Amino acid sequence: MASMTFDGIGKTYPDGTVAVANVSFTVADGEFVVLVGPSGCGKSTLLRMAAGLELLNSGRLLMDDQDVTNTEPQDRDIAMVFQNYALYPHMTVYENMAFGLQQRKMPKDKIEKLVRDAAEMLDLTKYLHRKPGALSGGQRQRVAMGRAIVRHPMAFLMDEPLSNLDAKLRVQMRAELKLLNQRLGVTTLYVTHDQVEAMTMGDRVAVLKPVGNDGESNLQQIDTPQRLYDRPANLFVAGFIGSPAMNFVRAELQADGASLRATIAGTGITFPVPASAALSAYAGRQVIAGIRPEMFLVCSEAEALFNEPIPVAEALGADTFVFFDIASPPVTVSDAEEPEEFRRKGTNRLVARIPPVATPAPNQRLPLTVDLQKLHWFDPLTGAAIRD
Amino acid sequence: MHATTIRSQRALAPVRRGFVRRNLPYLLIAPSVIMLLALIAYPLLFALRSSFYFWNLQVGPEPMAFVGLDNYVQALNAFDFRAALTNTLILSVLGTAIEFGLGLTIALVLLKALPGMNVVRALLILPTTIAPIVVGFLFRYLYDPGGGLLTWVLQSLWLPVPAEGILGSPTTALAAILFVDIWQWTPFFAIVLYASLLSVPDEIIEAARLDRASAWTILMRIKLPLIRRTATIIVMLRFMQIFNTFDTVLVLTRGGPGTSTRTLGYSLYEQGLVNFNVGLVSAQTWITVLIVNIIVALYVFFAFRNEEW
Repeated sequence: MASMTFDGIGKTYPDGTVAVANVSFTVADGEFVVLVGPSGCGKSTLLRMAAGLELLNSGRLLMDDQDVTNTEPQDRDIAMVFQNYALYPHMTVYENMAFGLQQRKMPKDKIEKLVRDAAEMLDLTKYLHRKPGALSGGQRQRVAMGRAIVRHPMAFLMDEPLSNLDAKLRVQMRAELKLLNQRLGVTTLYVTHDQVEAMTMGDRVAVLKPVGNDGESNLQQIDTPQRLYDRPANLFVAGFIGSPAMNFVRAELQADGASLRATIAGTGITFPVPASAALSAYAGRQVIAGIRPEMFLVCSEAEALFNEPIPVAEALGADTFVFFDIASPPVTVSDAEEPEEFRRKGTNRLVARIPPVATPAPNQRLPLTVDLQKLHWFDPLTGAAIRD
Repeated sequence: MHATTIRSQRALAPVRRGFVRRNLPYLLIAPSVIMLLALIAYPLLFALRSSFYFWNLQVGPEPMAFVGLDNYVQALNAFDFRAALTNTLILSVLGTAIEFGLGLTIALVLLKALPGMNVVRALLILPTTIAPIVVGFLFRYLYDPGGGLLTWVLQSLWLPVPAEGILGSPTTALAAILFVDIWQWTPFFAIVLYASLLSVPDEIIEAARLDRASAWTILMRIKLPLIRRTATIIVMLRFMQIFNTFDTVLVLTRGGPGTSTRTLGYSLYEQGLVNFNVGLVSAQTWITVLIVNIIVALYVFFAFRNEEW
């Protein structure tokens, strides 16, 4: 068991591409931290750096306060589960799991006991004498896990270990992995691009973003799943975490005596804004409001902020997602780079989560209001959340 | 007139297509089967029949008498047979082993992706592309006792060079033949092994490194087992090729001095195409075929024993 600290990690490839820049965070002893982000955000690179398979240009990597930046993978006592499992195809399940122990010159009977215990835990005892080629995807995945856990390493590194499984098995393995982690209490760093996986598995989740130069940082926010959802630090995190994604609309803020009013750009929709010192500073300027789909409330026509025809409704049984367009310029996460004219025109498609009973007939109008207390506010230039 | 032609073609077409469809697999393998029968099975059977007759073209154009197994007895007792068999085995076993070892080393270096490796890869393939007979002549000059480059290099390194020349001394002649084969065919091993090592997924090597395996363990327990099929097949191929070494011997030493570089292949040539002793050479051919097939069969049995094909 060990803690793991990334201290100002950076990696630039010889051709000048910046893969990782200025990433600093600590994984506490026994903690399960998930790295999540879109392709190219450097999550796998960070994981490979932790394993020692990838060199870093700047920063330090500490394990239990010991600098392992230049330590060979062999000497790090870390176990990794690869996306495609990387099992040794010519060895049986038993040999696959025993290989790492044999390298430690462990006595045979002790290896046998460790492998059998791990196989028992993962329900692999029946398959010990099979080769990986004769196993199903889920079984291979468990062998890869078994190979990692028999060694009782200081930390587990997992690189999208569930992405090659079918949807049902993935949900099942997700729970099993989480249980396994709680049982073993081993520090785990887990990479995924799937935010549901990140939210359900991580003690804490680190949201990463691709960087363009080494002045930025890939790391947007690292926090518990609930806090990431409730208090996203910026537009990127707000847009990435949550499914369906948070709705963004542009709004003009005006001072209205002591309080504030917001008007959604391009529409006449206007509503009072809960008082906030940070937001007051933006009076007379444009901001971006973030509305989670569940913040919409079905209401009477008199109370409605939005009353648009609903072209598409997705009934999921427990909830219904309704989509509607407002005549307001769309907001993208990389807003600052958008040309001015795009920000003025266009329609913005919003999604709301409503109870199934309220599902309207196609193209019927649905009056909706918003729980104004819960709105998120962002600076349109920096994307940073505006909070007191 | 026109209409009838079309109708008759239409009537014919399904029949022809049915025949082709039913027999397509046989039609496709027919050319190679015919070639195989004509070029290998027929000569072998012809040789089998001839081996039981006294038949020397210097004496007469037709087989003269049925002699039973006499030709086999004579072949096995001939002054040169044991020497030829020993030399052939030394060449095949050492040649294959050294070429494999060197080739693997070169392949592992090529994998390091050092600067200039592209050029090295291209150059490596060159020796393999030269006809063995040309290689033979090339080395005849290199080994020349008067001014050969290799002779000079050995002398410069203070290594003993026989007075009668590298090819002239029974102690060095066979090694010289072996060296030529190694020079020409090591790159073949290097390229093939390099290609098959490339197919070993990086993650597996990385997994092994994280499992604390040393570079040596990774080579012996991961890389080699994973390229085993390719390795087994090229070793077998090369073994059979060296077993039939003939052209370099013809150009460099003609089996001499004495019988020191005589190979089975060269023996067959001499008995058949110099002495025209068809009966005897047929017996020798069958002995050679049997030996090489027994060795290869044993090798294949042990190499592929645990393999699920």
